[in-house]
Amino acid sequence: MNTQIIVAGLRARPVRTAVGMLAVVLEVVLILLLVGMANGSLADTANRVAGVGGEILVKNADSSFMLGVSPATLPFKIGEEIAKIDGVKAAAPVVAQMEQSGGLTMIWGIEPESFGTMSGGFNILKGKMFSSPEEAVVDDRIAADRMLKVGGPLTVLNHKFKVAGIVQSGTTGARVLIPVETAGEMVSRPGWATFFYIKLNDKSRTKEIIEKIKQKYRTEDGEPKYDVIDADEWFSMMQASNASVLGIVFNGIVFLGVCIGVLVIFLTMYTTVSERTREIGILRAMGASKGFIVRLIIQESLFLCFVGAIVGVGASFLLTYPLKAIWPTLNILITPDWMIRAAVFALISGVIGSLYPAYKAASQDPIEALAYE
Amino acid sequence: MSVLLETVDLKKTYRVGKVDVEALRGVSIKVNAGEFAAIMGPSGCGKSTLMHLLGAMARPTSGKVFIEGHDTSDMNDAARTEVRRKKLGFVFQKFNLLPALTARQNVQVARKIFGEAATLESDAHLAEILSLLQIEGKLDRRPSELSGGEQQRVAIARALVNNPAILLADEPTGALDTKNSEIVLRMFQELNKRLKQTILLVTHNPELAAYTNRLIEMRDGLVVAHAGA
Repeated sequence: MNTQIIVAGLRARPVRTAVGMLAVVLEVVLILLLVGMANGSLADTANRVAGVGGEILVKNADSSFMLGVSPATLPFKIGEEIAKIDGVKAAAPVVAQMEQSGGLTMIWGIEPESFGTMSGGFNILKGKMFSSPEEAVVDDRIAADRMLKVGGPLTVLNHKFKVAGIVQSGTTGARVLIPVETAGEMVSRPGWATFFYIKLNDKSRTKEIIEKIKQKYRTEDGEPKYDVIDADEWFSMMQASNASVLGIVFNGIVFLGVCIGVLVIFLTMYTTVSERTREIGILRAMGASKGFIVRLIIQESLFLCFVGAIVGVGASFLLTYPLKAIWPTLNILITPDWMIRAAVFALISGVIGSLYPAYKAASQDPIEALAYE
Repeated sequence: MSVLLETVDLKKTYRVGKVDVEALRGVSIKVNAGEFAAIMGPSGCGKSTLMHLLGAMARPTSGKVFIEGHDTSDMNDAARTEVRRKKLGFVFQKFNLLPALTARQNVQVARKIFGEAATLESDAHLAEILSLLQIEGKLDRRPSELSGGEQQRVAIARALVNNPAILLADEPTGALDTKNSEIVLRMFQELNKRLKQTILLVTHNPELAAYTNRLIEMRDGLVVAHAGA
């Protein structure tokens, strides 16, 4: 019966219902798309970095998990020395940089030969690997995004390159690869790397070789001089580290979304309670308890939010298509747990936003409410 | 006959601005089970205030209101709400049906508030009421699709669906034409006669009061005359 009253009430005021529901849809879309973009970007970065294929990473102990935000502090000769250790197939130096204009873009300076050994070679879709200091290769996603063509110009970090080739995304780590020497000059640290990828002949010897490298490089105090990490563990740590940073961002997004939802639901339900003063008076006169009225108003709000949440989840998925078409490098990862969370947050908004209107409705004096025109 | 409703020296004073207005100045009445009584008086005589107190919608300034022996004058809001739900049925001048619901749903709302979910057709008592009120064929219409007389008959069905001890009708024909007014009053008579429903009607119109068995006349916040059984 409550459902009939609620549905009838919502149908009787279609504009108010539509506006209230739209606000909930926006709340859910806001949460899912913003969180989805952040998660998608992270997952994409992690997959690309993992896709390179090295088993061990060597980086400065003080550098961040975030590749591209740390300076080049490891001399190339370390790579040469590590490459001579028994069981090591190759050591590839990487000078990582980050371009922030027009979104975050990772640019890695690499040696094609050693870096290509990590994944077993590049899958070049068009053109060829760079062969001069002023050439670069890009992955197909950024090529589509920036409409780059083989032989065309590319400017990164105020440095002009010619696009030598377009490679399949997923195994290159960064979206833009440039010669390691050029990258070193760009950061004024020629001959120094941000980190090294290490490829082994036998993956099962990863722990053993990590220990060997740690033993080889020690400080005067006997402590390991560099971070020598199992690549799989490092990717997990990077994701966990990013997750903790992003957790704050996500909380902000959710808080903003819930605030919008609460305010609009409050306004919607406050309006409906004011419009239905007489109806509430009738119910009170008939013996409806305050609890009955409170439940009715909150249930109406929850119904509104429930439908809005479902539409919002659907709308979020639909919106990913035009967004990805406009920005090919954009990754939006909408996960089931965030779908549930967004819907729960919408319902929480519904409850919080309708509490005061429900209390106001239940507190109405039946005589005054019946006299209300 | 047992006394269903009784007031003892009932007084109600309203504060309007800085002035105290005595709406009721000591009203003592009794309504017995099975009676069809009318409270009549001109506008401002206090009959609506009396109706609100009898309907447990407000508390008196002083005096007592007994409904089936229970004093409602000292009850809190929750207790008075329960009395309204379990003992009383209301019929208002403006029908006061919920506009978004059908006639059937309007009646079912009362059931829901009472705490029962039986369908209208499954209840023999209600089936008799619907038949008597001649609205069985109108139950799926919304109030806007019903005439004033039909709306008021739906409101009466809603008031009676929970088998209340007393039906309180406040100017129930105030929004109806003469023909529909007569139909509604005849139906009140039938309900009283066939179902032994106790009805207390408030009106300013002496012609309507003539349909009842007993007349309680008010003036200036006091009962000035009793007539009838």
